[in-house]
Amino acid sequence: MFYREAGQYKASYQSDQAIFPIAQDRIAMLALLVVAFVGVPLLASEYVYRAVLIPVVILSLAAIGLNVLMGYCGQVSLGSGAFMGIGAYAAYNLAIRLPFLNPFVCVLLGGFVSAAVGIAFGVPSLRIKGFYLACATLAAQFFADWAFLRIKWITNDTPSGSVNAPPLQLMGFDLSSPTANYLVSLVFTLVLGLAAKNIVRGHVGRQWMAIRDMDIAAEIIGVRPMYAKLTAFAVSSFLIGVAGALWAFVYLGSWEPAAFDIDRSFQLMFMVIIGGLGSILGSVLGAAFIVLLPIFLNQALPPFGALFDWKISTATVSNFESMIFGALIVFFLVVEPNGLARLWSVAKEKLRLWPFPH
Amino acid sequence: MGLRRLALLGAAIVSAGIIAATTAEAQNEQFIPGLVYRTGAYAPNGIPFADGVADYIAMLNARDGGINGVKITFEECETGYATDRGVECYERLKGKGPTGASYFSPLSTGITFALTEKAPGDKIPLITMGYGRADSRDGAVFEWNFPLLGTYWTAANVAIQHIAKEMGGFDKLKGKKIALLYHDSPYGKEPIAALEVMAKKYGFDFLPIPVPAPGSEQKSQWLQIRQQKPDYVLLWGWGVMNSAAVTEAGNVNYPRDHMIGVWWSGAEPDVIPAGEKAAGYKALMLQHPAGKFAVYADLEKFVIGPGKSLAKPDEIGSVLYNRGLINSMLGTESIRTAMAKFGNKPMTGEQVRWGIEHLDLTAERIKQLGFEGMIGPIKVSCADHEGTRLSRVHQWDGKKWNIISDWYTADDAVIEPLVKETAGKYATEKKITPRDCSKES
Amino acid sequence: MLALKALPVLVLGGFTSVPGAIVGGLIIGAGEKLSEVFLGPAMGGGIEIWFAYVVALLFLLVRPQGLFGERIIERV
Repeated sequence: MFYREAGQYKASYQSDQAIFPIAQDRIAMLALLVVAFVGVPLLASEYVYRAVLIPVVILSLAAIGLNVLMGYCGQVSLGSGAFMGIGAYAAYNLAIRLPFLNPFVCVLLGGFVSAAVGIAFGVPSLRIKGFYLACATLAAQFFADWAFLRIKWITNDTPSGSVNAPPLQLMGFDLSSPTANYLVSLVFTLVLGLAAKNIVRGHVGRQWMAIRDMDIAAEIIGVRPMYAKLTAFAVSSFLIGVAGALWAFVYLGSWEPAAFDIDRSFQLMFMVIIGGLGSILGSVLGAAFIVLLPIFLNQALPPFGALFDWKISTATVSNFESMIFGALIVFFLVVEPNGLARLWSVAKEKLRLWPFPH
Repeated sequence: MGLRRLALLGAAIVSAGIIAATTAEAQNEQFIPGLVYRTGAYAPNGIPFADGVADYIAMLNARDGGINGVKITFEECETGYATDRGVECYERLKGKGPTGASYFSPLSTGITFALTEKAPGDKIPLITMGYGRADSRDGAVFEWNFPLLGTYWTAANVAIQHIAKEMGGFDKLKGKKIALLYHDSPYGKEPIAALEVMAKKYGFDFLPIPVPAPGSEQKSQWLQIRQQKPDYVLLWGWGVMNSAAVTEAGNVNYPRDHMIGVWWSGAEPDVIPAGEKAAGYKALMLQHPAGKFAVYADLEKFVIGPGKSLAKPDEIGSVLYNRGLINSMLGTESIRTAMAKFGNKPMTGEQVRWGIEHLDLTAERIKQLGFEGMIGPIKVSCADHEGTRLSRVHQWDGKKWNIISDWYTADDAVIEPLVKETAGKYATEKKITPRDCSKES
Repeated sequence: MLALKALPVLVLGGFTSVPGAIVGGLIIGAGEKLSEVFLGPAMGGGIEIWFAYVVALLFLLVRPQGLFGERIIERV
């Protein structure tokens, strides 16, 4: 009843092609933005910022990047952790060696470096696909792990290999408070997410989807596979690189190469799979799910055990997390292979009818 | 429909349980958080340490009712040795208790590096006993880091001193080859700077050999060692890497008594899995040996006897369990020192930091606490956050650890310039003005 | 993460052949450790973590069907 679009006429191509064609969607999105920019800073505590909001926002940007590659272009990539690391270390090196640059400019430039490396590692995708490409991207991941540890120039010759981000500021304003960190990450994610959404709706995105669905047929009808695949790698690596630089500068502050290892790649892949391949909203939902689940289990399991008079140690909670995590992934892949995004669109369909039966 | 209703009912019960289980905060309590890892590749060493930390605090609560009448609340958080989980645990626990967390001991150099950025802003000290940043002993730059009892540069220097003694003098080191088999992480790389300086000074060849984390596969590294034939191998590992190293040394027949491990590679979980191959392996001690000392009388009475200890029977009296006891002892004594100045009430992080910086345990006080024979006197000051620079060496004979050396004091002529250099670099990078220690009270 | 090492082995041997898997396993296993001993010191050490995957990558570019596999033909 409330979600009906009866009476909403489109009078121009532009309004027809809007990302949110239904007025209720636009209002809901506006309300969400108001809550995100105004409501959250008024209500959230520092713990919620540091442990929940900032990781969810930054990792959704990374998940959007990976979704561009895996969901829209169909190229399997297990090297996303490495690209986050490349973005982070590139931004760090620019910030240290060119101190006049603002840290956020360095974050964007780090994304470009990551895009360049992404194109280089994407070249094998022209010859190999699917499962085999996973092997090639694994090579990128482990090689990057090794390079961060061994090539001293990357870590500015620190004896321990651990590096510190420069203090965050913009035109003299100090931006190191949790609220400022959150707002900065939110701005980056919104702007770049909007850009990604528009790219995938445009002709480049359609080329990606053609390659994903049937790449030889796509080549026959005139889609250039090299252009499509390499642009997919470039855009994806740019988004992941910017997310990696934000992760390092804003969330971690001081990091070592192990922060971008194969576990991070798997974490991003799970976000994209659970959230829904081929959906920008799915990436955000997947990121929120993966970040919140361990925290929720950590808070909920000990009191739950206390109900049955069963003292759960931290080791048990940690092991339970792994078990429940794995079970949920299998559950999602079996019951809803299209992920949380599909659950959301099914809910929206039901909302169109509600409260009427048909 | 039935399944969905059941799921909703389950969720309601869980939420009710969570709400019911959270109790109101008491006001006269000192909160001490524990960052532990009881799962993962480093758990074999993390578990006994965590048990020692918890048991000493439980004993203080049971025997004395806390510190000077203020009860201690202790909560563990699992980090799995991962930096991002450690940061999440830190954020969750730093505000708990009426005055916030007293101090953090992450038992991970990686997490220490990350928390070094956050702790000054939140005003919570870090006690990184025997690990962490080696240059954080300079309290003028690192106001909130306390690498009590020893840093990795102290360890590296003492190891070289012991090698020199075994060879008959520092001049005999010239031309010899000393390899460092290290865990490829900030923890393993810390000693390299000091060892390079000493290699130049004493004229030995320094051969660093990295082992990728977690370190359970070391065949190629030991093939290299068999090829290069170093005179000594220093082992800087943690978790499964230690036992794998000792086993592989046995497999390639490298003389185990020419292997010296750092104090984090010299505990029972590192040698017992290797069986007979471990006999002869030497390691540094973070001052204390394995075994039971005077404090155990109270521990048995108040914690282990009543079955409140988290430790298994064979852990009690082991090297890492003792180290956990010492960690909690140093922390609680610092709180006591702070209370002497600020009053017998829960201390804030800032006050605890003052307490650690003014910690002065004489031999008498150590005997009173029941730790005689475990550690020597320690005096922390603004300029020196390490407090003491002693260490000794023990050797595994297949059944137990035997102390085989006297006390060594680390040579500050080697270490001090290096500390000044790296601490200064950190200060310029982070735009910190070092404190003037002569003006601190 | 030992199971991930199986991917380079399969790529080397060919996905459709069992003798290929055996030969691939021997080549990857021995090659990894020997490369660490002989090539490792020249590159700073620790190259065994990526050696197998880079060899697999080179194989994929040059001979994607592996040593003993069947040629992969795609049909639309």
